[in-house]
Amino acid sequence: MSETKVAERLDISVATEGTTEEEYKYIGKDFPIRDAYAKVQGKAIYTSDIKMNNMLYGKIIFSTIAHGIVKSIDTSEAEKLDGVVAISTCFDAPDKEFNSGLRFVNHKMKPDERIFNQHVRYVGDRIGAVVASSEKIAEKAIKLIKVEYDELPHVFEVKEALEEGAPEIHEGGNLLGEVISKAGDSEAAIAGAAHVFEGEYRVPAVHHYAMEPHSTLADWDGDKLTLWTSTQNLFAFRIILSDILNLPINKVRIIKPTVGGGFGGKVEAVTEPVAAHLAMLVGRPVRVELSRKECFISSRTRHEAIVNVRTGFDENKKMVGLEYHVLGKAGAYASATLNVLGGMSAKAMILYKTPNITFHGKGVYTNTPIGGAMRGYGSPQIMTGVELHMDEVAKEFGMDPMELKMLNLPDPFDAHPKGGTLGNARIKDCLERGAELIDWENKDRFDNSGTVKRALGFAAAVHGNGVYPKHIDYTVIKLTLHEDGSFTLNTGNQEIGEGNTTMLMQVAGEVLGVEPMSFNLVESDTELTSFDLGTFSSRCTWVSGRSAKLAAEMMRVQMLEKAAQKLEKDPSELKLLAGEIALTDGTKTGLTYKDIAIYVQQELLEGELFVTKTYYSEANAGSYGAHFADVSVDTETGEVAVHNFAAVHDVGKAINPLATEGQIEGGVQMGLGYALTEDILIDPETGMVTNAVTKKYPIFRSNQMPDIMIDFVEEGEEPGPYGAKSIGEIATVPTGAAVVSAINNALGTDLRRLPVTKERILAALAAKQ
Amino acid sequence: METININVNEREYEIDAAYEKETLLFVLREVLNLTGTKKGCGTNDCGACKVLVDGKPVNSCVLMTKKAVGKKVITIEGIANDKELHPIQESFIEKGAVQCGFCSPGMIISAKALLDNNSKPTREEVREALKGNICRCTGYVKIVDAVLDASKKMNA
Ligand code: FES
Ligand code: FES
Repeated sequence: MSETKVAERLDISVATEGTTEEEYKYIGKDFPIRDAYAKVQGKAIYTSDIKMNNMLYGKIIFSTIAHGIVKSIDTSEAEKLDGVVAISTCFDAPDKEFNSGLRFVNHKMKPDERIFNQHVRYVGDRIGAVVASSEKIAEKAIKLIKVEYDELPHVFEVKEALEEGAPEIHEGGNLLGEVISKAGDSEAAIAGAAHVFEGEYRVPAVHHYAMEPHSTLADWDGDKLTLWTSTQNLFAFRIILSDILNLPINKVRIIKPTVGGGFGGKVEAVTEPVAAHLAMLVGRPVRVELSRKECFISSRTRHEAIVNVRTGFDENKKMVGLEYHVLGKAGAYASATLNVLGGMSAKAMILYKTPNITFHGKGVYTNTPIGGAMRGYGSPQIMTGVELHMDEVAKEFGMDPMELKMLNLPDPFDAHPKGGTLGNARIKDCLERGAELIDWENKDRFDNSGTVKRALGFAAAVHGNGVYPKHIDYTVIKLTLHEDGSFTLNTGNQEIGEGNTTMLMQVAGEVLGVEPMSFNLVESDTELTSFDLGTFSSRCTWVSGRSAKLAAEMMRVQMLEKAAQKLEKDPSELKLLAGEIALTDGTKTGLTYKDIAIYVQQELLEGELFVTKTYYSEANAGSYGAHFADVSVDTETGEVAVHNFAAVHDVGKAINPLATEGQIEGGVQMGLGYALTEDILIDPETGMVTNAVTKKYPIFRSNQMPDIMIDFVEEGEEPGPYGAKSIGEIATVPTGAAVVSAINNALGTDLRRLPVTKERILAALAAKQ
Repeated sequence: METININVNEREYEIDAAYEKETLLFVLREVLNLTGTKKGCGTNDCGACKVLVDGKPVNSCVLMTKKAVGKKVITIEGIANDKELHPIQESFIEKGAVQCGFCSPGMIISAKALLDNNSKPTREEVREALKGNICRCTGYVKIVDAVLDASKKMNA
């Protein structure tokens, strides 16, 4: 029977049969991440742990000015240095433009950067690289290189960049593009509203700070290019490299070793084009690893943004219109800016319930580090804006913000303002449960007579599940049954440390009745696995998980058919039972998975039993969440302490509760930094990042973390596998607004700019007096 | 060639004396191929490179190798006992303290240093002891859980 026929069949007869929730063996159970055993012993191999014979080290030469043209690069002194093998610059490297955040062939993303750029557009732009026998020598060589620039005027802030006469960073001006999305008529609705509010909120550029810096090892054998790289966008990098290096796609192989975190930063090609070019240049393996400082400056940032929110309410405090006007700082290159704005435009439609919503975003070039994909992909920016705004509206109305939000947030299956429904949108459940956990009812319980003021705050938010319907979103799962009854699961789905492959094994294990960790996993090698869109857009559970379920169901159908043939029964009389074939009532037949494999191979002469499922996502859903913060502020020092935290998420079904909690806890850590401490600071004179070192970029530490109470709303959402939907990105989206809301409640302020530093708190308090 | 000896994980290594002026992290990773110890910042700020030097947790990215001569260095590769994981490693697995795992070696080293000195730490003490180790994935919650769990096991 052909695969499609099997697939057709399973959708009617097999997919619906089987276990009920109480009977799940592996779904909803805690599993440590698949490779934890190797990781705790230091045995997991990350890119920079790989060494090859003859390997060389590449170091990038970065622009030291914010804007200008490289006139000349004098490498003569550097070349004399012992151990320097080659130097390549913008004057000799391939110069085809690309977009580092590309996802698939013909994906419409503006190509505007090169491996090395002669027209430099920020401090940190790549202008060349040195290959040497050690990193140290390469670094030394760079110090000997003299670069002459023709400097051009620069601009660092979005509003100035849009002014008439601003220095033009790219041909055609600094407005990279606009994203406009409308439902109903917000202008008319707000014009006719009983109450109108408007506020401008600002959120910073932050660094992903994946603990593993960007790193790539490239090898060129004269015919084929092979890369080992720390990525979450494997297959697209193959396309980028094939394009800019003029190689057939089948001559570029990319392998993803263990990845030490991504958070969106590794969706974009940063070290890959450089390492690949250098390896081809010298014909030897070359490793290019960024230092932390280089990661701060020259990888990608979350988009700094100015978010203007306008709302209209009727006399019953019901929202009648909502508008977002967003200026997103693209930085020096287009990268994913317009896609991030697109992401915002989609989420803008599905948090508050009004038929009249406008999103208008502008992506603006500036001479600053490049804004790119980052966990939440636009949602943290607009959700922070709208949630702080709603607090202010509630204050104006003299209402509890909980009451105002409950009045205006959607119920499950409410209409989507652009047609269809919102799906099983469970934001109200999240708010109710979170309110209970943090005891919102008694929010005024703190004694605030002293100089330290304590209060609660909260925020609601939403993020998506995959890319559908924006563009194609698919993955491929292949399952093979081996001669001893064990299975291999083969996938291009890219694990970056969050546990998505553990999840795939749980799903397949549930369907096939085998212990999930017994699968052999083949993962993320463009030569050995099939295309997967990448680990972003909160798509792994929703799309790859679904694909794993369908593939396993296809395998089950095949196995039962073969077993039935062997036993001279009808497949409908049989089921899989932990490695054996049983009658539907559970009586064992004596036939095992191993017997089936051997029967197929040696009696039916059909070789190995395998199935391949290519699954295109055909739906999207909102993953909602609410965070609650209990915060105190010292009004004399501006010091903030976060005491307690509650996070409730609409996850559909937590396939792996342990990992789901882990996502939320990590998301909160990142969100606390967004709220309070993290900000990539730019020198207003030179455009240099002034805090590109961990000491000056405070990341939340273990001793600063609050206790986190977590709850899941598990009401299921189709067609997520077992009703599951995403958690990875939404986990960090509401945090920023929740914390700032608590600070505002403690101080009676309307702080609108993140991060809320001590200085900003003290300034706000001074202004109040 | 002039050489120096360093003792790592109870083993003597003889290396080129020129490496004296390199960081211990460099020597571990690039010379001895002990790549379990990680480089997260290189500036003494994140703890990914933590090793034990005479029992004390030290960031190896800023320790010159010369300073490790004559001392006992323990890296993540030396934590497990033969084939048996150390209880801290077990607890890290069981409690879900590992996600991407890049901070795990350094975290486990810091945890070991703590538990060797204070076998029954409070939650606050664990949090304090780990503050030099950044984790970007877990929010530290399950890491702290794991250390407390390991302490229980080790006292049992
Ligand atoms: S790598 Fe040594 S402290 Fe970060
Ligand atoms: S597990 Fe990824 S940095 Fe800690």
